[in-house]
Amino acid sequence: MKYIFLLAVVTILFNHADAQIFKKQIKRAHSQLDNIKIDEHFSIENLDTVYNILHDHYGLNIVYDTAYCNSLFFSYWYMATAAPLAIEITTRNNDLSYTIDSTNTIYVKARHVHNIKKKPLPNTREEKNNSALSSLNFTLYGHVVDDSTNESLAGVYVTVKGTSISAISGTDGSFTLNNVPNDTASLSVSYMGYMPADIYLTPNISKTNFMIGLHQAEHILDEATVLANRVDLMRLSGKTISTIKLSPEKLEQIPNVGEKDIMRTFQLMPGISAANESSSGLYVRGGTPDQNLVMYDGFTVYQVDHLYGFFSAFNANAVKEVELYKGGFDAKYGGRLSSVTDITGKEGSTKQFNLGGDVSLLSANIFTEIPITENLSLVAAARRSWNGPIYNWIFNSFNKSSGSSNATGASGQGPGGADNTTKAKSYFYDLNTRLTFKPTKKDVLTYSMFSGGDDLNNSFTVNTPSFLASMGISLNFGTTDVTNYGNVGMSMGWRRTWNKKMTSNTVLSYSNFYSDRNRVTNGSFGELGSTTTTKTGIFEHNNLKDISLRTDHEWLLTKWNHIGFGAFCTHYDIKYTYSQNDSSLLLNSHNTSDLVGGYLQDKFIFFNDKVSITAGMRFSYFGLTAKTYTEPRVALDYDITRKLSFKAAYGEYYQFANRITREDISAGSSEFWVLSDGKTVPVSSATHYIAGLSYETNSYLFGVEGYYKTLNNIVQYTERYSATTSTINYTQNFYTGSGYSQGVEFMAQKKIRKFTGWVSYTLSKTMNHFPVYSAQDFPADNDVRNEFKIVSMYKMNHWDFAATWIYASGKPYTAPGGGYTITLLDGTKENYVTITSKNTLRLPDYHRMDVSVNYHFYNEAKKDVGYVGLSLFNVYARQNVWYKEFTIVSGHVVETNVDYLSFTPNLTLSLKLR
Amino acid sequence: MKKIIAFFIATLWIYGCKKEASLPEYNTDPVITSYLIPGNTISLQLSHQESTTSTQYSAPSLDSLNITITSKDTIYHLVPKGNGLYTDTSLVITAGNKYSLQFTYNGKVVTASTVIPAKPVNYAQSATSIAITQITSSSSSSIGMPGGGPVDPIKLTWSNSDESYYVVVVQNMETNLVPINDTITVVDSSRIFRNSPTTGTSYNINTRDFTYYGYHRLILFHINADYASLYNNNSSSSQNLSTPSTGITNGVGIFTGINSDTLFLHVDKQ
Repeated sequence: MKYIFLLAVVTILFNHADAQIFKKQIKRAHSQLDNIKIDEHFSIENLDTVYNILHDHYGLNIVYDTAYCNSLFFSYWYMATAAPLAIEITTRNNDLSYTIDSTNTIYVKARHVHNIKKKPLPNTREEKNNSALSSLNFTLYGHVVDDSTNESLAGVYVTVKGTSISAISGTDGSFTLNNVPNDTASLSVSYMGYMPADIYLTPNISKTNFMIGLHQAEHILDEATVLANRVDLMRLSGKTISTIKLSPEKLEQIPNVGEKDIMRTFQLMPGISAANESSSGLYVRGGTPDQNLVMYDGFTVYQVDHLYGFFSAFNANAVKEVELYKGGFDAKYGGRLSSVTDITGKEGSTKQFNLGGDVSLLSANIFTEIPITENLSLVAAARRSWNGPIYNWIFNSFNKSSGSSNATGASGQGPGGADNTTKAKSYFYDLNTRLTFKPTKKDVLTYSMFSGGDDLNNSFTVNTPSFLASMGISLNFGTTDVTNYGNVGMSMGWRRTWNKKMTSNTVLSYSNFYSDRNRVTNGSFGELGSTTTTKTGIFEHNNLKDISLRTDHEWLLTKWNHIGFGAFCTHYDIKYTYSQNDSSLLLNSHNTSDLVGGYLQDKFIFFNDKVSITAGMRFSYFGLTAKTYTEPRVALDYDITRKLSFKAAYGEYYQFANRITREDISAGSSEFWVLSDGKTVPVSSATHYIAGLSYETNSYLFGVEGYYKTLNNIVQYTERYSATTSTINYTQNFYTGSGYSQGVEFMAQKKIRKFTGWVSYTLSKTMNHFPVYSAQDFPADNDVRNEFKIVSMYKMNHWDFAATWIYASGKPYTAPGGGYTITLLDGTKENYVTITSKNTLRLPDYHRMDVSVNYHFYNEAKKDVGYVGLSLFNVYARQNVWYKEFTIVSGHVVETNVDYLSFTPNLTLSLKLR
Repeated sequence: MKKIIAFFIATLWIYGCKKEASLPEYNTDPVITSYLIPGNTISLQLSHQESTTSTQYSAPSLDSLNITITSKDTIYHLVPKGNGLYTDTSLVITAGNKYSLQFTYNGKVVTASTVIPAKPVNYAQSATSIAITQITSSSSSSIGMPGGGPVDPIKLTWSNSDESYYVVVVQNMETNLVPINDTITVVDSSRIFRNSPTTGTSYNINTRDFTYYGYHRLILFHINADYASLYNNNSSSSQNLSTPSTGITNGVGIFTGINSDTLFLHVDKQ
């Protein structure tokens, strides 16, 4: 409680200081329009509606052709975007241009249509507009640079004085001024952080390459610049229920251990469990990570963990944006019960080469953007861990279970007197590549490749005694425990804008998840040259291949009726074998199946855009069960007022590929994917009911959402309840159950200015019912009743400060009701524990504070080109319990806590060219 | 309005803070240990489960139970010998027979049954002796390589047409243990080693597996699946805790038939 109080006080103090600074900023802002921040989510709206909303919500005066703009459609998610940039974005791909006059009136017109009829909004002055737009003379092409470095400056405002003719320089500093009235006019040039300049044209100037040099202002980083360039780290969607968007660009603000991490950052949002240091997968609203569909540029990723789950498999430097649907997602997505994480890779610049990288105490990371031609770009990023001090620290913390020896591994122990040691020789790596080709204005072709994996080596080796080493003798035996797992995925995409009403996106993808584990006793010693060496131990191999073709289409039938439809086809090939030595194959599963289907959804918009209803249906035919599955979905959005909206959703969902956990504490549990066969592993299903309210202003967002989710035919695997008087049949060890999850999430977010962040609280309950464990419902392993999170970020010139605090009530665990010892045939005694009821006890509450500070470097063009950062994880060294171990000592069962990571500092250096 | 909000928050708080059950219930199922070996009379050991540190209990006595074994329609009443041990000298175990256990404890009927496996067939070894150079603190030859050359492992083979389970236990029979590695401390428990249960037909004993010189017996146990599963059910973590598999109803432990064959091997000093 004292932590909450402390944070509340700090928050209030920061807020107060922040408000004072902001008032000063407003006075210093160069442009009124720059200070208008647009926060809107437009999903297939016609441009007329978009401009009306911008006028109604933000007071923008926009002059445009109503009929023409009514035929153009637009989708974009603005996150505190400055008004001029917001307008510019609406003109992209629509063959429009715009100008802003001195009265802040914005004129939007078609580039190639000269005689459009203008229909001004009520606040605009038509007379002036007409005269401004008719002043056609010559076009001036120019370039703005820093006069000291000659480096191009992007985002510079160039205006013809006395007119509304203006332009903003592009990323390469170039600008185009249309309709310059005469060649003796004067230009006004302004840019944050630079001295404003008045430039007088002469008849002799180059009209095709007019160079403008700006001189830096004395102090760098005008605060207004910070304001104008602000990009939100995380936003909730105002229009789509249970949706979160994340911008990796600002990810380094969040404290991290070694790597800025997309999945870890999502875990700071309400409804997503944060108390899972051993899993990067998302536990969304009581769902397990395998119930969360993860798509990367269109292909499915089946494994998101690096290094025992402490890091996610996604390199933030290669990611443009991520959208997470916590539930109630529409008919476009399917195949998972709980949620969808849709990751889009960076496109890369077609104009400028860029190179950058990060080095931390855990890993090194390098990325590049290469403009190959004017319409072809390449992005490549690679990452690899190295055995720095943090790596070994984390490795040892998360590898506790692998070192214990017992009956299973008895033959792997070295001879008496020699020490067994485990040495971390493991590493993880990933590689991302994306090619983007735009052959025409209507077509975008992409090729994206992802390869990531872990090579974990927990081998036990026997130390060579010093006297033997001195004689040149080396011992080379012990237990080898090597696990390789990872993903290889690639996709080829074709996005086409057929016309103003129809767009399509078609993706051919391949995804391969592999996991190979060999935990063997190496008997090669003393038999050099012999080929008869016997391996004993565990051999586990899982290989999943997914080849998919999907096509999605959006058809804007009318202003109030938008249709989405598509089709998909996936071929699954999943193999799993598990054997305990060469001759004993315990589980052998190989399934292939096709999943084909399609979907159709229709969005209706009523009452002057205040109400929208999206209804859809998804159909799937699954080959292994030879059945058709239908999944109805419906979502409602009602804008009660301009700031207050109500949202609700209902949906049914099926899952055909399941990840099973094979529990084995002696050698480490492992997870594998199997296909549903309708018998041993049934097709699982879920139903979502969600409703929520949100109240959003330019500065703040308050949201509450409630959900109820039922789960049917969920599967768990355990070897403990097998019928044991006959030959063990391991395929009988799958057990089917059901469950439900319910909860309510609260969120308050401060979105703008120097101090930003959010506070969230989730109250939830996740129950399972598996008759094999208990006749009654019992709390699911991932049931967390209360989660409270505070994320606060403060930006001051070169400095970023951030602190996060997470509180989660303890997870359930199963405690023994007794224990006993059996003397085995070789005379050894083994301990066993028994239970009476499952998951009836709770681990201690989880809480943790992380803190970070970053110092940013800016180049002469005032662009952020890197930072050096210090992160402090678990700053007050809370001993959070991961799980408990039970042993029998002196006739009693004694429990021992195994803890998560304690206080861990990390340093990161990140640099990039631009 | 404020009252409504306060009530709402208070309700949430109470709901959120609701406690789960605080202690697990003590598991009173009895523990049974009984290996039924052909040619031997029956012996059955009963015990209570160990309590958790936080559990207080008083369980009924284990020494006054009416325990019966049924085989081929004959019922044998086991005689209590104290401390949970029960025997019957009239019942001699025979391979291939089925034996069923039954008694009532704490109001529950405890049952189990097992079939005695057949004696292993065609059990053979690739050599009856091997020579291993002793390792001393002044040793200069390669460990386990007498004469500097490689040594083949001892290969044990047997027939297994029905893919049933076997386990090999190797035991040093010497009274005075002479270690192969002279630098280690002699520990009596390390005179025995074994493989994991297998449904295969062979097992290779590598020279490095031996710790001591002298006579060893190589016991091949033909076991039932319930015994094999004991090697797979030894979880001690709260992450995956559940009652171990057992063929016993209303009880835990092992009630299983065993058969065996034995070979001998001499480990000589090179």
